[in-house]
Amino acid sequence: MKNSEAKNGKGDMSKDVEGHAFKKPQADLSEQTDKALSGLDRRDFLNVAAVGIAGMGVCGAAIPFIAQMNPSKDVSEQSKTEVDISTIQPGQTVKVVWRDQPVFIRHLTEQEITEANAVALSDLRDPETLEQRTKAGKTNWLVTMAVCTHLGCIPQGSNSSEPRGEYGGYICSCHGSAFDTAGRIRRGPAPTNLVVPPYRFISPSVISIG
Amino acid sequence: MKLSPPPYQPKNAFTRWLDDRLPVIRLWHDVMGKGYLVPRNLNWLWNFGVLAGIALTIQIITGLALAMHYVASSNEAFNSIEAIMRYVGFGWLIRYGHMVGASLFFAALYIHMFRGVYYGSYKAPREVVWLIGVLLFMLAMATAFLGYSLVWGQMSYWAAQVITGLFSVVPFVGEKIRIWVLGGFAPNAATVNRFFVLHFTLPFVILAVVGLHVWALHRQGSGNPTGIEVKKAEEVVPMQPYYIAKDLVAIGVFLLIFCSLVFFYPNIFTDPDNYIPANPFSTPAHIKPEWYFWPFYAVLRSFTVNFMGIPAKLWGVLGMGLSVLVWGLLPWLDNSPVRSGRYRPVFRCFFLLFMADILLLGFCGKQPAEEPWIRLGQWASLYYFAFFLVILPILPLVEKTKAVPSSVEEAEKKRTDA
Amino acid sequence: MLNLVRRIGFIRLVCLLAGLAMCFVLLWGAFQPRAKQEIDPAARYQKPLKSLKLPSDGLTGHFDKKQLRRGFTVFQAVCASCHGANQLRFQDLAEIGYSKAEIDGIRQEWINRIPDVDPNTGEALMRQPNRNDRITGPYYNPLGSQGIVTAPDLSLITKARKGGAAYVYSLLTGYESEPKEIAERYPQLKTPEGNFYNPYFKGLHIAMPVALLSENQVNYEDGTKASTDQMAKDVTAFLAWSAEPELENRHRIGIGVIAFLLVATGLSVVCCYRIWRKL
Repeated sequence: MKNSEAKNGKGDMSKDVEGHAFKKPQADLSEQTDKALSGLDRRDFLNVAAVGIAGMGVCGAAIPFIAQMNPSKDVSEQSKTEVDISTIQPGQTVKVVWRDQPVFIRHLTEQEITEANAVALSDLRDPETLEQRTKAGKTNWLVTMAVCTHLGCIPQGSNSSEPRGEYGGYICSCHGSAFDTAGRIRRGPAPTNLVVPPYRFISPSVISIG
Repeated sequence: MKLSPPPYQPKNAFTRWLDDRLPVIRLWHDVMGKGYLVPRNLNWLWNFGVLAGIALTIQIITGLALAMHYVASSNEAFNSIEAIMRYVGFGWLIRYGHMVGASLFFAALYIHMFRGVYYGSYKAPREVVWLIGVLLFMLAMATAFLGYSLVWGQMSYWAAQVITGLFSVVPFVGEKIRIWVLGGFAPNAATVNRFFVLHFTLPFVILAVVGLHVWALHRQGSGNPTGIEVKKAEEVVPMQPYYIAKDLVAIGVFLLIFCSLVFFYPNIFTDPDNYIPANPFSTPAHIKPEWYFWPFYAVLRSFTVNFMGIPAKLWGVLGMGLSVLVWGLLPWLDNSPVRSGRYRPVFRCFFLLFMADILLLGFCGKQPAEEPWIRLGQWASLYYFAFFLVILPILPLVEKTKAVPSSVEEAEKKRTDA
Repeated sequence: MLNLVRRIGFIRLVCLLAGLAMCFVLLWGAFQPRAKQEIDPAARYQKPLKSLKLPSDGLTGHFDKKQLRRGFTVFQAVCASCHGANQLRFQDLAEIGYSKAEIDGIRQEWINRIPDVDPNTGEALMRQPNRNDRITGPYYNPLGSQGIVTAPDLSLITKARKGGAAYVYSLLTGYESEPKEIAERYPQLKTPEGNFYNPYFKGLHIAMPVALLSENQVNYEDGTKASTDQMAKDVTAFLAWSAEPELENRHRIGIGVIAFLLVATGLSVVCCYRIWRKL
């Protein structure tokens, strides 16, 4: 108990090293620890293996906690969206929901198709023709995700009361990306054209997205 | 710990630089490393504090993952948990882990507490360690109850109903308090929501209080099975590597038990009724809490008659409250100068009887509220209170203890010789 | 006396008195006379569960997909006229070997319609269930039962009853005629009108009529003979799967995890021993 007096006198541990009153146990302890550690070569196979296997265990245990943040099975397997397009007039755009996100279905007018075809591919940031972005023989039906490829806002232009921008398609009011009548990026920060989701015509008047 | 441990000495420029600015490595060294000196004669019962800490960590991690998917609403709670089990990646593992983890947390906690009673760990100078521990126990019980309610199965719902019903014993304002706690006249949508918020928050409170518990412990240093304070350098070893290695073995065994249960017997501790969605119009025939509450539940049911103008219901709640609180009084109930049960043969008999009594109480708590279990529970409760409030205070006056060796070294030498 | 108080200390004396008071109250209670316990006469007729062996039993058991399909056939043809399997969605049937086309066929014929809104007119309508919708029964109420006694949901039934799958199997095959003795000795136990005698059901009287009536009640597509016992086993196997679809996965991963932990713990024991030996 000699140490306690000394300790009361000096709170700082680093100074304890010089305190003569407890030099002996001090030495004993470091000696003891050193002895224990010197026997254990750092490269000792067993210790490396033990640390390694513990590390593996921790990494393995992390897998479920990372995996659980993926979309759950009932979300990722959500069924297709079927849309009756027979009531959509030329020039009209409707928004439907697929995978929790809106999709534009646009019935292009003759003029819009002509406008889209008149653009030279070399003028485009992401060169694609209207033909490539629509189904064969159905070039008047433009189906795109209503999600700006810049940072995910919903572009305006689907409703007649909304601005369509100088290229007549859509304009994203968040950061000013303008899309043409084929949904292609023409101006602003968006890197690519509006994405065309997987879809097919299951009858002349019904499309199925997904 | 009055022995001075080797101080932390930063080995290179970076650790020196860091140590001046944020001494985290020093903290580790002082708390878990070579700077914390531990009696070298600790037995395996001394590992259960760390194991409770591991279980708490498992609960917090799995709980965070569950909270990302759980929907705290009376209509959706049950279904959202089933959706976790079926559709979330490894959701079944996380949910079952949380369920089994709660039981193992309490198992570790109980062993930790009984160890404390037997070896007199609550005595001076570690009363505050003990008091904080009892506070932790109460916080854990509250958290466990809230979490159990969140499942919103039949047992959850009726647990919420019955346990909040305990508040109604308060004279005059009891019913008002009950309604205030529930946010309704019976457990409802508001109840699930507030229980979720509290169940989410309390574990972090527990974590902070665990910090205090460890801080208070390290102020005085760990006790040991002899109950004699260590005095010489030969009687201690540094935490790292000795007790780190030993704790790792204990954690390995603990995880083996945990994983065996999670993967092969995940529902071993639960009541089948909790897989039935809550139905506010029908109470299950036989409601009972999870196993870790059985002894206290038995105490609650042991008060069956009005007495001295106090209704049986109030006696029951008082009795149950006291049965938890007496743990906190231990340092003042038992003033025997001899710390460890090793040198108190009479105490040892009463203690073993007390352990058996707790098991009996638990068994009675599990049974339906019928005879002979009620009467048996009454006798068991009687011994429970007698042990704490009558036997422990009187024992030091009459008990003849064995001679306590003068040092830990001598005590352990005698033991190995014998 | 004062000396004793001094020796025992004030705090301990107060606690002692409180303890004695508690003990006295408990003692008082323990010696109260008890009402004579009535043994529930129904318990005398309750039978222990039949034993049931399922392919998924044990640590290495696997679900028999063919049996689960047969079980769903029974569930669809018999159980589903009253019960739902709310925790299952139609698409989950793919896990027991149904193709997408088959699932579409099942969902389109399903008894329940889902309340929804016509996207064109905004009017309320009842539509066919989607693949993602719950397999509900005719009494399904998304807000819970709210006190109305209906046929219970079956998707968790083997977890929600003591005895699990064996209970379901025993109950399904356990209908008997009421023992004559009951009418003579315990007239209060007589099966009420509209209920049925089943010694595996708590209280002996169940509101569910015999479900599996006769052989070939359903047509198995794999040609298995549909005896009542076979049907009961198959539908029980299906319900066991619907309660714990993760079972196979859980056991498989579990065996790997336990093996890993055994190695890791063994290694930690060796390391611990070597470290302590050096003292």
